[in-house]
Amino acid sequence: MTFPVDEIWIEDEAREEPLTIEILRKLPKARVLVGKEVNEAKACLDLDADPIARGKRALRLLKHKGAFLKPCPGTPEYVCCGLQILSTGQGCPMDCRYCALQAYFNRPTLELFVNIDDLLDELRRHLHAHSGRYHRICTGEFTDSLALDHLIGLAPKLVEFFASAPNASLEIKTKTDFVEPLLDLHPRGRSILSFSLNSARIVQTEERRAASLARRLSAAVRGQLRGYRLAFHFDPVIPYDGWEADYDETVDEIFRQVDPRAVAWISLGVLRFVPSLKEAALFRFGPVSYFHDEFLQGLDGKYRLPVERRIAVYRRLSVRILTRCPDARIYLCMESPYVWEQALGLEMNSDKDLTRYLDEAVCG
Amino acid sequence: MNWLDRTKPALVDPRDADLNDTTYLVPCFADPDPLVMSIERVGILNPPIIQERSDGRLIPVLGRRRLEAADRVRLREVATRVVPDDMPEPDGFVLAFWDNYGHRGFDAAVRTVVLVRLLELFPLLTVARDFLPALDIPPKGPRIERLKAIGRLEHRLLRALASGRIHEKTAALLTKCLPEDRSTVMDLVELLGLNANKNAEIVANLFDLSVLSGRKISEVLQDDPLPEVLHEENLSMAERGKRIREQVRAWKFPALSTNEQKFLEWRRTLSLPPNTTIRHAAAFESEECAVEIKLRSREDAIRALERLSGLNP
Repeated sequence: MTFPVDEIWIEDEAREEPLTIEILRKLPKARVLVGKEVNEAKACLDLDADPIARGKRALRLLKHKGAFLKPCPGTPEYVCCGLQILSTGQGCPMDCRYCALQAYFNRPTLELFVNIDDLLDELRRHLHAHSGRYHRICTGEFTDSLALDHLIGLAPKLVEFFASAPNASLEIKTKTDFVEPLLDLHPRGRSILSFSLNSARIVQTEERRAASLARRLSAAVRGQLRGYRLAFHFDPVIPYDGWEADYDETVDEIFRQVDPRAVAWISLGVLRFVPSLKEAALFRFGPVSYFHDEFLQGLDGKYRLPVERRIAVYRRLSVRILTRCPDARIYLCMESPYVWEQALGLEMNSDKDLTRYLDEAVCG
Repeated sequence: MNWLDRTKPALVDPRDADLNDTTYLVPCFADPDPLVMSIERVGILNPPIIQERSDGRLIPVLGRRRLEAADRVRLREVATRVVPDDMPEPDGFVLAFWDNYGHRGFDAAVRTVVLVRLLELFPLLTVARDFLPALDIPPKGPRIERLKAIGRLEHRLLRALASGRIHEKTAALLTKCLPEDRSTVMDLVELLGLNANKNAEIVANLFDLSVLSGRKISEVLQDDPLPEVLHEENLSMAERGKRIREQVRAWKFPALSTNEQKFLEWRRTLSLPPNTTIRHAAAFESEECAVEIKLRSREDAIRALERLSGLNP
């Protein structure tokens, strides 16, 4: 299964790129817009009642002009993991109701950067220039790493690139099961296939157009059998009434299928969001009950559940995970040293501490 | 076509005009009394424009409020100008729009009602190009949808928006409520007489509680001790507003509320000197506290710091 693309918007600088031509060949039925048509389409999309929904069927091809590799924006006041984001595009064809991207981007279209030779050059130069440190790099922050990769074929190139990189690892983060093109490669321990997971109920009701839990886990198993390290992200955890049993079931299901030794890390993050996301979701989907829970504005201006509730969630989930996978490297996304200590009994006082903790999982 | 050039003078009894007709309505939520007084003193300076429809009805194009005011002061003959019945509705509304726009600023409520009507009469792209800049509305679909929904709300709510008693954001939230709940909320807003910011807080919290519990807002408001506070006769309006607001906030944020209460109780046990305060971490995100000591001079501050430096944090 792939995601439908009705329109392709080609920015002038991308018109002659070989990848643009390749994408057009792969999407023969899509309406192609160039030049002035693109500006008109942008103005029209802005006027749409739900530009986010419509934008998920419009693919904009452009050259990325800034740095491809940037530190994860993270969040001030909380401990961040030192991940670096490799931008391959932005926007996601799936439509999770809690998705932060709804309130993050001004442009609602899907975007792919067609100058991937520039991306690989920059990556090569960066790893060489900073050869004294380890780099954990991920492509799945502002887009899903694999959802549109059948169009650009970048993920296999990156897996091959990282297989020979001495000081870096690649995390391919997805809610799809599009791992097939990666299975004939040799990641040599440098590429991690990571899956964003949730309770079956959240997957079914909130993660619209994403692969089912079973398909994601099946993809994980196939990746593991081909030598990929795995990672799982329980993010966002949404503690609705009865969440405990549902999340337990997901944890149990992971380790019924996956060899714990293949797991590089598991992250946990209770739902948090910028105030405008609640509003955006309300007007797109109507009232979604969990957004109306007792969220408080945290130290970084984002809404978070009270600290006691978050700690209780992390404790419970981590205990369950450790029961099934005693050596699991569990980390919390955007939490304070206090929460780390209370929830996991770990001293994690700075970004450096957490960076070291995760680097050890892949470079050790 | 300039329809004003094709008008004919006519004397009209305001009672003969259908003043409830909304074909060319650009509403005004302002108090009509000053206009009534002015007409009583000096009469109608600019003749209203009306249209005689093919069914014989006279409907206002420009000057609806003048005709209403004239009726209130029992003027039985008003000099008007009549536009032909073949003037298309979009042309008539454009006339009304620009005439009103030239005379008065549109408040938040008027903008929404006008937007609804414009979108009934013109394609979205035309509205975006020709009218949104004047209405100071950005050409963004989701915002337009919200304003449209507000523009269809009950008159009572639009009046509250126009007068600044509720914010546009609050009105937008109320578009997501059942009419019964909107009515309940407006009863509360009118009873408490709070400002727009406090109304916004109460409405947002009630909305959240309603969604989370799957109950109507009117049902949430039946929970103890709210009915008692609402009907307590000895409470001043300000005190009632404060207590209701605090109670709703406590329901919405039970953990925060409990933490605040415990913190206050703990702080009371400390018998702090009057120049010292202790604050908890924002949202009780940790157990950290901040101690603030007010001192009279820099010298006092240095002495205090010297004494504090001996303490082990």
